[in-house]
Amino acid sequence: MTNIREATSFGATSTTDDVLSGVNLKGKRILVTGVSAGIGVETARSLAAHGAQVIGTARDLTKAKAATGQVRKDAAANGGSFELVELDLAKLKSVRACADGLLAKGEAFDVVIANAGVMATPFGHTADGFETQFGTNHLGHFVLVNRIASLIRDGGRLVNLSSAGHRYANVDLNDPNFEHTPYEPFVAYGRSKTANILFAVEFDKRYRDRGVRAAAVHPGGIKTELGRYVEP
Amino acid sequence: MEKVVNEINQQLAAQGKGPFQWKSIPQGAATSVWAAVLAPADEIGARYCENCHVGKAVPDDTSITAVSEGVRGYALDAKNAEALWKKSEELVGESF
Repeated sequence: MTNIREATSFGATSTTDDVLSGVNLKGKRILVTGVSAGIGVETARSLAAHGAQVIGTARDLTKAKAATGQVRKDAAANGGSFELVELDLAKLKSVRACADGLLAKGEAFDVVIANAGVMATPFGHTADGFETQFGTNHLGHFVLVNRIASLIRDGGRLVNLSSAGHRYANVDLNDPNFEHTPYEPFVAYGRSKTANILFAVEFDKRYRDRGVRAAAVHPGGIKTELGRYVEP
Repeated sequence: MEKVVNEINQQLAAQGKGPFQWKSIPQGAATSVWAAVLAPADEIGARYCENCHVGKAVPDDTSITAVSEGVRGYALDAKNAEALWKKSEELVGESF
């Protein structure tokens, strides 16, 4: 990518507008999962406001449409664009349909931001029988990103949203669905957020020969709907 | 959530630091955007980023508070990453 600056210029209090000040993303096509609330909406907005073509995914398109009015306004005012596609990461059938749709369209991505996630949910399973957080936060993105990997341009990027919460737990490859381990919401969250980092590490190894790099990010403590399952 | 924040603030006070500040949403999205379009690729590839920079690995035997920076070694471990990839393929019934 061309917009490289001193990495030390930004810190904990930097905003999207600070980071993108003077950056022109015209011609960049970027996929952001989870744009019906929180940082996904702001990620999409800030990129589109700098001229990027942003494709946002959401499980509930009606909710996402209502949440992204400002994204569309900022895109239109700045030569960017924004569109929504349906994706339920807790249903692999939906994940595969979303990937198929993007592949059929055949337009390349410069960046994929795997942003969507759930946190500290009550014990439950995705449609395919995986523990909710590991299934949604990791396996859903694992299938989506790998299926559309051929659409990521040489020199492109994958950004996986992780969390400092990865420090609650390593992945448990022998019991990923808590069949033999007592369920703890934050342990399950920690496993899924560790998986988001490990997925970036292995994806980076597999694709760096064509310049595609992958990183994990911790956004910081923010009051968003992600905390909706945490007791007040 | 308030209980968690109170515990964090007690830890911070014990270290002589001020109370935890929530990030605003534009601050929270900043690291995603930084890693996506601004940071040098070689700097962020296969790394963990926080507060718009690359996070440092914290040894397993070092305790960290909920608000201190750092990434655990197991989360960046190449063998662990490969094993998770294989297990994930097995679970979803697809090879990549």
